[in-house]
Amino acid sequence: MAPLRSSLLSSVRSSIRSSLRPIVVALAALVAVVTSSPALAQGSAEGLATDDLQQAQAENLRRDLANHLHLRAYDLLDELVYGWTRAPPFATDTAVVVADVTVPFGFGSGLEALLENHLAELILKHPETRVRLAHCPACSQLAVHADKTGTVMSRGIDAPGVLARVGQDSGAQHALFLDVEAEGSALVLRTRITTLDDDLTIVVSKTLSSSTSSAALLRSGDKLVSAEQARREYLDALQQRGPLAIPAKLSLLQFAPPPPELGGIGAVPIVWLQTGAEFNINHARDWSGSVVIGGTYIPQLYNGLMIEARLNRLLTGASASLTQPNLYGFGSVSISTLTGPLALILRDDVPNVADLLASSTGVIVQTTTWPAIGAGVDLRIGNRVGAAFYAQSMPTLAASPGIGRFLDFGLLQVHAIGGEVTLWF
Amino acid sequence: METLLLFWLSALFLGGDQAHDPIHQAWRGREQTRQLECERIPQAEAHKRFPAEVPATAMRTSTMMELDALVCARRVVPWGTLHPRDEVILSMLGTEVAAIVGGVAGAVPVGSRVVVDVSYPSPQVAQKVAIATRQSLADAGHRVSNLAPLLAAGDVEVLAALTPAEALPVACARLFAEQTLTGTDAFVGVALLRDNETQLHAGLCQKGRWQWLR
Repeated sequence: MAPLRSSLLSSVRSSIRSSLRPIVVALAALVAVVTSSPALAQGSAEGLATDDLQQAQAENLRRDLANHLHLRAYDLLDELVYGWTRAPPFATDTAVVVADVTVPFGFGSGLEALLENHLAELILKHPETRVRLAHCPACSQLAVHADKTGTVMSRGIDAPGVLARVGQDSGAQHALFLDVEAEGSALVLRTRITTLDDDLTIVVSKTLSSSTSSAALLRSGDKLVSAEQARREYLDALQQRGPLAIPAKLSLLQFAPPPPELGGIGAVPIVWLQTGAEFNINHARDWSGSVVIGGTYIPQLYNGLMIEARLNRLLTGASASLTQPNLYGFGSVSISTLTGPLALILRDDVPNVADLLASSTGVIVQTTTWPAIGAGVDLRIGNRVGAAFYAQSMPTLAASPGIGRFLDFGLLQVHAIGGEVTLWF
Repeated sequence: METLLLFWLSALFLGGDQAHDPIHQAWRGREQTRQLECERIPQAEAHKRFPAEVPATAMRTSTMMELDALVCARRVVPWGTLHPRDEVILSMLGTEVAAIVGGVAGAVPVGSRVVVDVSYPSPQVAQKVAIATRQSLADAGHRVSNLAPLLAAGDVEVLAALTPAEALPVACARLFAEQTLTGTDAFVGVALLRDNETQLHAGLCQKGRWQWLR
């Protein structure tokens, strides 16, 4: 589409030039002043030559994608070296010069250096490949050689005979060439080992594509395993988590302070200790449900019980990450009962001093039970530790003068907010 | 404010399933959606490749209906980054080169040395095409040299004035005349014959005779 766009633009520009030249000159001067800042200059793509625009896009691409790309390329290198550990390319230990590493156009020499270093690291850690890396700085330098047949300028690696004649021979008999190319959504690694003579005959050749391997092999460079084995470990990691988990929670629930005009007494926070069971529907752990029971006891103030059911939904991605924090959203229904002086505050009338005294001395036992619906977010790390924040609506306590509203949606009111810390077993 | 908050909360819950569905990415725009490459694969294959995302096939369900998965991956290099012709060529590099190597197979005697050279407007893309062709020929069992054949400076000057379609047969003859290639050596020339096309052409040179393969 770019040639069409540029040809259309150029035809428009030429017609403008012929009829409105003075106006265009004035406007161009104005635009030049306005777009002199780098941000605006980047946006004015029409003013740039196609090559400059592509160069700018390539720079953006390199910045945005290099980090992601090198991990996929590492994976292919792991697969390559693992293959060499199973089927070494040489019968005996053989010195090999890393002759050339090329990457997709626009990603620059930084990625090439990363790949070369990773390959060197893998080969050093796996001597069973029988590949020994040899150092050859002259191989990548420009060599000029003149004899009776003519003058040839080339990289040293492209004229190994010349290197040998000028005394720059590395002693290696083979050269390794790596090429990584992006073909659509797949990354393709082409590896070839050539003889280090005037012919550079390819003696070992291997092509690997990311489209034929699993998405994430999670392999460590210290101990390479096959793609199948890595996948099995991955599945084990998924299955070891199991569908059932036992949470232990410490939760703090704070009621909204009452509006001053009602004259109610604000309720103190309720601390709940809870445990129960959580069931994950699938390995992706994107949906899960839980049922917990909880208890609380503060001497002279309140004691109580609660039961709550929750439905959790993963909000960060399609599947829970094994290595990164996961954020869940949840909805809940619960029923709680509280006994003691605090329960007086949850009644529909304002307790007087006599009520409070009678309740604290045990003359009367006040019990309040209420249902609640809630929603919140839960941040979990490794599915072992989590922290949640939630809001609850308690319709039967709406008339209590001791409870206000944090938010009022009309039919739905937020009467309490809470936070909790959870450990899963 | 509360209504807006309620709307966003409900969107969070409802949007979870849609976050990775390429169809539900209208807010990302057409350009972003074009960067996806999608393929439809059977559920069993999808489960094998993405066990965390795709559940295993259930025996009862699989007998009643065939389920499949739409697997989408973002292009490594987004459309619009390089020259459009180069993008198409590089995206189909494996397929294009396989077609060329398929034409060479059987035409070159076993054990013959094969050299490859590529004529393409962009040197970087020419290098990529040459690497892929050599590699593919080597994978197919040919004895391939990693070097491009060299011609004398005078020949290069003459060839530069010709179109690729004219230059390749001449280069073929000169390579054997100058004895850069000898005997059963074979030269595979890959070229883009017109600037605005997106298909690679190839020919085979043996004993100084040029033959178009594609």
